[in-house]
This record gives sequence, structure tokens and C-alpha cells, in this order.
Amino acid sequence: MNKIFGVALGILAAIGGFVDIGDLVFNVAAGATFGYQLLWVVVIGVVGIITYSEMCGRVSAVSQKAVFDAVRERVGFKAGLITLIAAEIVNAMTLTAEIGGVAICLQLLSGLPYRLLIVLAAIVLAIVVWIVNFDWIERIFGYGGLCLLVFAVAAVKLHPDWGAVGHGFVPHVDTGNKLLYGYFAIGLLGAAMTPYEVYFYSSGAVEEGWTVKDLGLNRLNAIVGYGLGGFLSFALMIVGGALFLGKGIDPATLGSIAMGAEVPLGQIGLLLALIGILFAVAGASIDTLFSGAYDLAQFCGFEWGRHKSPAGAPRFTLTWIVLLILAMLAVMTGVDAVKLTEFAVIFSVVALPLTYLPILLVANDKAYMGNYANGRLANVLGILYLVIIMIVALTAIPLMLLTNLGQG
Amino acid sequence: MGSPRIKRFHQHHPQAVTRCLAAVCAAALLAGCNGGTVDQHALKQDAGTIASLATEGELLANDVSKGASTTYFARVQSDNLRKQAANLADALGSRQTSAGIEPKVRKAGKLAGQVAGQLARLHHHPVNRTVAKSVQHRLSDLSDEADKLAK
Amino acid sequence: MSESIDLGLGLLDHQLLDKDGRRCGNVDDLAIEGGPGEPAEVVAILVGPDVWRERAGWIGRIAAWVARGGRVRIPWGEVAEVSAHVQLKKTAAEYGLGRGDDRLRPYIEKIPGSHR
Repeated sequence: MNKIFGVALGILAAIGGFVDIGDLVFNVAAGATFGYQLLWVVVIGVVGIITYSEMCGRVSAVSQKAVFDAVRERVGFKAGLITLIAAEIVNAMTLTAEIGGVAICLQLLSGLPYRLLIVLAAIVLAIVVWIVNFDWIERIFGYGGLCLLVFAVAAVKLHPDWGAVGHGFVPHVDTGNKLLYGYFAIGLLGAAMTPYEVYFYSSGAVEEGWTVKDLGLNRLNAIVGYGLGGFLSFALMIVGGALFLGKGIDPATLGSIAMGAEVPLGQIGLLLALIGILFAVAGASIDTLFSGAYDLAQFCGFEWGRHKSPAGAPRFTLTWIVLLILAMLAVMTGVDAVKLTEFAVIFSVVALPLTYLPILLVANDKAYMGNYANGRLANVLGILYLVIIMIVALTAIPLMLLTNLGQG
Repeated sequence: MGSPRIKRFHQHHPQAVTRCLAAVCAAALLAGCNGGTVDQHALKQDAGTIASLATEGELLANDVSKGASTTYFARVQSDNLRKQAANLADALGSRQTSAGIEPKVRKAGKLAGQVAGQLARLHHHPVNRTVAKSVQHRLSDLSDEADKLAK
Repeated sequence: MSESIDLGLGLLDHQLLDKDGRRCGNVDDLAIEGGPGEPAEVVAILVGPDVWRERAGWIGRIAAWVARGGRVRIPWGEVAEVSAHVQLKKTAAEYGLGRGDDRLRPYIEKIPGSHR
């Protein structure tokens, strides 16, 4: 009974933890630009992250290796180093956008000056990570992120045309502006299939000492956690389509996104939305921060772990401190967090094949995986998504340039 | 050292890579060259942005007039919108325009300035329901005017 | 160590663990002896950023410079077990591994709460 309870709690935390600033920005913007037409792309993204993270979790449980251990072992030092550099660059951009997002949320809630809140956000995150047990961190930020369910209520209250919503789940392209449609499709896929989440998840699996007995839990976590998280993405897009599209509004700030809850639900809606966004983005920033440290530590071979005391893993600790300071300084230059989010999502999509392919190879390798190598379904999905990811990676930057970062 | 790997694509086909890079750069220039002359397409886009800012401000003002927002949120968000409108007003008021559309561009700039002005009122009175109502109506009119310019 | 191991997949780039299970680097390279005609034999494991120079061209050289050089040689006889990781017989300190962590630890320990 206790185990079921634990699993349910883990899933709840995953829902709140799935949505990060990239999902918020792209899902609402996609709704505001194309209505419900891109809902089917979100489904593809969710199935993709389920496939990818299940494979990573399985690799970690069976081989006791996290993603970057496996990447370096499988593709060698040089390719591994290039992958590491690409991953760290994308991570840094994402982290900067998220810290900026946290500061913006705090400003919208408190009215305090933005610059002050950036420093405050970084300090509070550092203290939380230093002192608080990671299980509690996951709970606090996961449950706080659950406030985002207010967007599901808002979506219903806005009375969308449910027929059109249903039609949005059927793959179709019904627009003159196909380039812009393509850009948003790629953004949505990139926002759903965030690599840092997978690095974080697989490192956690190794640290928790997962074995083959935990494979069922791994699958459950992936399917239910991300599936329900995908549901939040639908809600965001529906709000974008029901409220912003008709009025010709381009939601360019986090405040605009929060309006999506304020207009139908008033003050309570606004506060729940802001708190939900704050916890989701802050939680995501901790995941991103640690991913950056995990990747470097695993590649180089030095001690790492979220459960280790800071003194037990000194270089790992120094790494995340430096990453946090750099991100904080980057936000203080005044960069627009929402614009940076778009860049971060697009670049993470371009770098995605570099970590996806080695994991697919390792997951198929009977020498590593024994009987737990990819079965037929995992391989059909795995290869299908490899093709999707390669296409998306190749077209992402051209589309970004041709649509002027989604301005059409 | 290292094992004899297959020669990378860029080592086999240097011209193809150069051409590819040139194409990407050209696309980047074309895409990003909005910071120069304001042409018909840019005017349409900017008018759309003005309408969007005005409508968003209208929604916010409406919520404030009903007491459905919070002081801090209304104050900060209205200022965020105001800054965007003010930047547009500056750009449209001073940039070069392509032939024949200058009056329209300057008019759009003025409109953006008026939107910024209304948003500033909301920013300074984030709980005053009467001011909010008045701002809401003004922004509604301004957004309609911007829509006409975007046609 | 009589069973054959695929050096590329089973040994190279794997995580090194010391006697206490502490992570202390990856297998950055192998020292193999045996000329043409003789059986090749792994003689030692090489660890350290200095080793990266040879493995990754100019990127490796930059990475080695950033990580500030250093090379440790571990005779093959010190390997206790090769499984998911490469287990060594003694502690990291005895090999001169994990020095980065050891040098940094005193500073981290000055901050309260670092021994949570």
C-alpha cells in the first residue's frame, strides 16, 4: 500500500515537474497563433519523451550508468566531448531562461525590482539545494507546480469550440503559413523532449540504485508522469487558442500567459497561475542546474550525486555553483527570458540526436542490457523517433531563421 | 592517434559546406534585416503588434476594473506592455520607410505612443477601477485603429 | 583477468571505482604492449586530462588545458574487477586519483551545512 502511495506521489510530482518555461511559452504561443491545430504535435512530443526517458531509465537500471556515462562509453571520447559541450551550452541557455522566468514571476507577485529578484532567486535556489533533502525538493516543487492545473480549469471556462479542439488531435496542416507552422511544431517537440530532464532522471535512477526490479516503476513513471504532464500542455494550448487567438494577442511575456488564467477565473486564477509557473520553472531550473553538473561529472568521472553531501562531491558542488552564478549574471544583462527560451528550445532540438542516438544504441546492446535490451515496441518507437528527431534537428535552425524566430 | 574514422563530410566536400554556410548566412540576413527600413510587410506586422498590446492592455484594464487582478501584477504587467509599446513608438517614429507609406508609418508610431500612454495610466493606478474602465475603453478604440492600419 | 573483454566497449571510457566505491575518474586510455607478431597485452590504465590530448585532436588539447593536465598510470594488476565499472584494489588516494576532489574539499567544508 505504501509503495502505491509512493508511486502516486512520484507521479504527482512529475506532472508539476514536466512543464517548464519552454512548454509554457511554446504551447500558449502555438495556441495563440494556430488555435488548436497543433495539439497532435504535442501528443507526438509526449510519446517521444516517454519513449526516450523509459529507455534511459532502463539503461540506467540495468547497466548502472547514467546517460553521459553511456554516451562516452559508446561513442568514444571525442564524440562524447562534442556532445558534452553541446549539452552544456544548451543547458546554460535553458538555465538562464529559467532563472529569468523565476525572477519575472516573483516580480509579478511582489512588485519588487527585477534585478534584485534575480539575485534573490539565485540565492534562494542555492540555499534550497544546499540544505533541503532532494526528495523534499521534488515534492515541494512538484506539488507547487500542480497549481498549473488552474490552466485546465481556465481552458474549460473559456468555452472553446470542443469540436475544433478534437479536430486538433488529428494530424493536419490547414494554414497558408506552412513555415511558421513548421517552426511551432518543432518548438513544441523540443519543449516536450527536453534533454536535461532525461539526464536528471537517469542520474536519479543510478543514485537510487535502481535495478531490473524497478523497470516496471520506470515505465509507470514515464508513461503516467509525462502523459499527465502532456495534459497540462494541452490545457495551455487550448487557453492560447480560446483566449488569445480570437483577440489577436501575441503572448510575449510570462505575465501574458498568466492572463490566460486571470481573464476567465479572476484573482484566484491569477494567483494560482503565478504560483504554479513559479514552482514549475524554479523546479525545472534545479533539474537543469543539476543536469549540467551531472553531465560534466559523468563525462570526467568524478564523484557526483544529489543525495551526497556537498563535501562528499566537491567538484560536482563547485560545478553547479559556478553554473548558477553564470546563469544569474547572464540574466542580469537584461536578456529577454521568453526570447531566450525560444532559442534554448530550438538549440536543444538541434543537439538532441547527439544524446538520443547513443542511448538508442546502448539500449539495443545485449552486452550491456542482457535480456532487457529493446523489445520490438521500444525499437519501433525508438527508431521512429530517431527519424523524427533527425528531421527536426536539421530543419530547426533554417525554420527559425526563415520565420524570424516565429514572427512570421 | 584515434582510429581511422570515415572522413567527415566537411573534409570531403569543402565547397558544399561553404555554399551551405553562405545560404544560411543569407537567410539569416534576410530574416533579421528588419532593423532597417520599414516596408509594407513590417508595417503590417508592427500594426498587428500595436493592436495586440492594446488588446492585452484592454483585458488587463477590464480585470482591474472588476477587481479581478492584483495590485502588483497590474502594476508590473502594464509597465511591461507599456515598454513594448513605447519602443515601437520610437522605432516607427524615427526609422526610414519605403516609398509612399511614410504617413502610415508615422501614424502607427503615434498610435503606439497613445497605447503606451494609456498603459502608463494603468501602471500608475493599478487599483483604481474608474481609471481602469476609462483606459479599457480608450485601448479598445486604439486597438481597432491599429487593426485598420494592419489591413 | 583471463576472460577476454572487448577493450573498446568493455573497458575504455568506463568509470573507475576505488576500494571504497568512490568514483575516481574514467579509463581515459590504455597502455598496451606487444609489437607486431606478439600477443597484445593491456599493461596499464591511463587516467587524467593529459591523456585526452591524444584522443580528441584540438578539442582534446583545449579540454586538457582547461582541466589542467595531470596523468595517472595504474598498472593492470591493480584492477580487482571489470563489471559495469572498473573496480580497483586500493583507495583512490593511494593511486593519486581523485586529487581534484581532495584539493577542493577543504574549501567546500568551510561553508556551513556542507556535511549534510
